Parts: sequence; structure tokens; C-alpha cells
Amino acid sequence: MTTPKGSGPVTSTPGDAPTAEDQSDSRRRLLAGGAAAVAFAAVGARSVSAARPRLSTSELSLLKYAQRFELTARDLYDEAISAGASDPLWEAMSEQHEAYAHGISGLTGLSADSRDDDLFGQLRVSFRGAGALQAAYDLESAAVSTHLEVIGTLADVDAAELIASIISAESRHCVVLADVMGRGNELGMTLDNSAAPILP
Amino acid sequence: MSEKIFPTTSSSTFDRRSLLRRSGAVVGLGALLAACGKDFGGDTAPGRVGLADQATALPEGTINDALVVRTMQSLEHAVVAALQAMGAAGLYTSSQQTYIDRFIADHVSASDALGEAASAAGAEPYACPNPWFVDRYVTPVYDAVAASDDVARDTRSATLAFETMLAHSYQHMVGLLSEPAHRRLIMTLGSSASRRSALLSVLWTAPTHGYLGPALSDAATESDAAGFPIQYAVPASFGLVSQIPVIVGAPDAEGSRYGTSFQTPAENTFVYDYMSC
Repeated sequence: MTTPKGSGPVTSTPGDAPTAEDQSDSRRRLLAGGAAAVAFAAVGARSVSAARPRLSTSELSLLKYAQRFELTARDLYDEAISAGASDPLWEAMSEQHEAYAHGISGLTGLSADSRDDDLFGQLRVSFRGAGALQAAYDLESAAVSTHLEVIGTLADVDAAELIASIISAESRHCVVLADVMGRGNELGMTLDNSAAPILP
Repeated sequence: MSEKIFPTTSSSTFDRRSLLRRSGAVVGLGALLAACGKDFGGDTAPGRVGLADQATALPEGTINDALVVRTMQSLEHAVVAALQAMGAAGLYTSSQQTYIDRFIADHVSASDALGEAASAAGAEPYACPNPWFVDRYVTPVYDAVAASDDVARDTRSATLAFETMLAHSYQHMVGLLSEPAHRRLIMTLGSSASRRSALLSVLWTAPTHGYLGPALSDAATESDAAGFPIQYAVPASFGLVSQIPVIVGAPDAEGSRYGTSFQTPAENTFVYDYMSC
């Protein structure tokens, strides 16, 4: 998935130049579309097979929870950006989590339209303060633990493969955030995950 | 003197007598071919020349959860073998060796967990290096690194590639598993492998090339100015199962270095139920 950074919309009219916010939205739409494509690619041809068993109601409910978790993470990173976090990594992390939510949409058909308001409310303040990096690290660690619980419940192999790819990526996020905090040399921070899952 | 009204041509030789002769030849050839195709009940195997032994059929392997668990256990041990070989040769700095010792401990712990899962699934644990992976990757890569013109650079590249291979392999294996509990175990270990891979990228490539790979950053490139592949801490939005390019060793007379690509396990890497240490 390649996304041109800083490029404007395909069409534009003089005097109607896109704002930075518009450009960010365009980039997000591209990422969202790309995420769905990647999700389909990740699960291979099985996902389009007519013989593929449908996801059970409980699996769909679990994946909807995972999707809302990812949208909550996106909004928390956006909250940090709105509070002044200027490192491009924050925007990248926000886009990563939105991509995961859209990846789940691509697999399940569930609309990526709602976050977990309760979880967002619990963590919002921590993402706006000086401890935002630590809060982000904790959230990523909890996301990995949560998705491990999810994958341990899913019977559908395509859904399991998608969640596995999210676990791999979010595990890497933890290490990067520890390094940005200046704690990349602490093996306990980078290699261990003691976070509890956040379950419905 | 009679006058020929119709001049003689070659087509005039196709008369009734010739037609009968050629029809007879066609019928005769057909009978011969039919006879050749007849089953006379003899040995239908190809003819043998010489006294070579008869070929023996390979045993049939079954791909199941136990195979996946045993294969990943064997890859953990293969990586341990690689790290220990490079450590024993003094290729790591003292600070690097701190990480490597922790990595080896993690690999041994992962192997124990996988061995228990294999036993619980009614299979024999496979607590030794994967023979195919060692022959194909560990030995030649180690040989190239040890003889390199820049041992420090190539030790870092090889170590990072081995850890990344494990991360990709764990994720890849999820699709071959049937039991959700096994998928959970595999991705718990896969998460740890991703963290080790990312840590080495953070330490060794991020200071020069940043955290994000080409899929996420326009500034990122697949390889550096000298042509060596770059392993990013976050190479893409989703976890990858792609092959990992490795270029190590001293340049040969034509300026080429040893190159290979680590791949996720396939039929030739699997540890089948008829294999044991």
C-alpha cells in the first residue's frame, strides 16, 4: 500500500486549493481503501469463495468490538494531535488504527462508524497531557493483549489471519513508542507485554 | 492416326486400380496400429537398464496443528543456533550480546511452550534446529557473515533478518491452524518475535532511516545507497508475511555479495510427524 504524502486531490480548480485538513482526509480515504484491499489480500481467495462459511453472530460481535477498539485508538491519537502533539508519528499511528478498522470492515462488511465512547472517555485526558506517549504505549500493549483474546476465540480462519496481522503491527508500535520515550534500551519495555486485555 | 482429344495428365493416374491399392494400404496400416495398442498382459513398467535399487516412496506427511507447532519449534532452535554461532565467533559487541542473550532465552522459552503444545496435541516435541532451514540459510549466511569485509554490518543484518523471519512465520502459520487456542499461542509468540525484530530495527536502522517503511513514508526506501535492504521497525500498516531479503558477505571478483531471501515455512520446511530429532 503506497500513499503519496502531501499530494493534493486528483482534480482541483484554481483558487480552490485543498487545505491541509482536506489533504489529510484524502490520505485517510486512500489508506482506508488500501486497508480494505490489504485485508482482502491477507485472507486470500478464500474470502470470495461462495463455499466459505459465514462468520457466526458471536464472531461478528467480537470483530465489531475489535473494530470499535481500533477507531477509539485512532480518535485518541487525534486527540493528542489536537492537544499539540506535532510529531508525524502521531498521525501515522492514527492512520494505522483507522486502517485496521477498515480492514475489519473489508472482511466482515461491518461499517467502521463508531468508537467505544466509554473507553475513549476513560483515556482521553491521558492522551492530552505530558504523559501521552506513555498512554499510547499502554494502549498499544493493551490492544495486543485484547486481540490475542479475540484470536483465541475466532473459529473463522480468515478473520484470525486479519487479527494476526494487526497483532504483529501493534507489537511493533509498542517498541517504537518506547524508543520515542527514550526507553528503547529497556528490554522490559520493548520485549515484555504485561498489559491486561480490554474486553467488552 | 487417331487424335487424342484429352491430353494425358498426372491426375489421370488416379484411376480405379490406384484407388483400390491405396485403400488396401490404409486398412493394413490401421490393423497394424490397432495391434500395437492391444494389451497383451505384459509388464507395463518402463524398461530397466542396469541394477540400481528400486525407488522408495516418500512417507506421506499430514499437515495439522501439531505440524505447525513442531515446525515453529524447530525454527526457534534454528535461530538459536545462528545467534549462538555468531556469538561464539565474537561477532557481537558486548552491548549487543546483552540483547542476544535475552533473545536466546526467549527462543528457548518459546520452544518449551511449543513443545508442551505439541505434547498436548499428541505429538512428539521437536526441540532441535530445522534441518532444511539450517542447511539452506543458517550455514551459508553464517559463513558469508564471518568472511565479510564488514562483519559488524552483516552480523546486524543477519540477526535482524532471522528475527524478522520468525515474526513473519508465526503470522503466516495462523492460516494453517485449526484450533483457536493454538492460534492464540502462535501469535503470543509471534508478538514477541515482532517486538524483537522491531527492537533491532529501532536500534540499528531507525537512527539513519527512521521508523516507518516505504509503505508509510515517502522518505523511506527499500534499500540504502549501497544497495543493502533496510528492515524498518514498522514496515507497513499490517504485519507482513513476505520474504526477507538478505545481502551479506564480502564481494566476489565481480563485486557481488552473497544474497538470499528468508521465507515463511512451506512443505519443504515443515517438520512432519515421521521426523524426529
